[in-house]
Amino acid sequence: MTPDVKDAAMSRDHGDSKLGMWLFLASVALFFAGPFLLFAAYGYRYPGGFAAASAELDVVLGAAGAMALLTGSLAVALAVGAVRRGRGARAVLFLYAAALLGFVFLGVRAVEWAGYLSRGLRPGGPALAAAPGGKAVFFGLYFFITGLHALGVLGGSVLLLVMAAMVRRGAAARPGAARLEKTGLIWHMASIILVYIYQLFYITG
Amino acid sequence: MREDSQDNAPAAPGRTPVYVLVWVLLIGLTAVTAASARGLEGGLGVLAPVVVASLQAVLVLLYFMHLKDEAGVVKAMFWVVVAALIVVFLLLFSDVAFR
Repeated sequence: MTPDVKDAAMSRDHGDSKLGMWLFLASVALFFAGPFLLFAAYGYRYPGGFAAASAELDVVLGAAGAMALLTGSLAVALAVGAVRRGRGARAVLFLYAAALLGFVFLGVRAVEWAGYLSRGLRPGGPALAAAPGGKAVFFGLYFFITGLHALGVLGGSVLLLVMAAMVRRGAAARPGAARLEKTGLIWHMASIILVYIYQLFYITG
Repeated sequence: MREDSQDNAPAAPGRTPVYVLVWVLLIGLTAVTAASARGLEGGLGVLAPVVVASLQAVLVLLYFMHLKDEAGVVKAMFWVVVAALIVVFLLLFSDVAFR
């Protein structure tokens, strides 16, 4: 196979797998849309209960988590750019930074959850059983969506560490960059879902 | 339609200052909404955060995910997802609002 033919085949493979990744992201968006629609419908039905529940959430920690993940998105974007320019060492640093920010986000989320759970704000818990209508639904959706999202961030952080190891090994050539670009898409999708979680759960109340 | 090799080529590396500017906007919007959290009443209190979240999502999609540089089929898929979400949302609320 001549280098030109090999390049064309590689480019086509990259395009196909990237389209597959976008399809996957579309399915993730539609999956998360379900609980968000439930949130909207029940929020419309129980505005008082949702406002009371939202007031229980820690806005500062919520904002800190969102900022950590969005900064991680910047680091991932910079890492992809660095790999494309052949600056593997710089890309590895950005990837480590992004993964670290992912773990910081998970730590912040864990502190938040511990605080709410210690106050009995768990589905089926005493604090919610006696609460006005809508509050239990709010926290049920909150734990479901943020839990699922946190699992995604954990997976994304581990994937970034794997990518960092690959770039470190010298896979900073075009195929490695393409793979990193697709991994980065997953991370950015987690950021998009998080901004909706943050704005809807923490701010609308 | 363009050649596959063009359509499927990886996105060109973005310029670092653009990324940093987008990040500043994202963080700024998060900070402003945190500072003014729950300050708006009624419909505006719901609409404003949704608009801000959508603005942040668009910034991430266009600049960090390079959607604007993607092939037409990817852009079409994005709009199909957006349209599907709007239709489902309208159907749900046409039921909820008049129940």
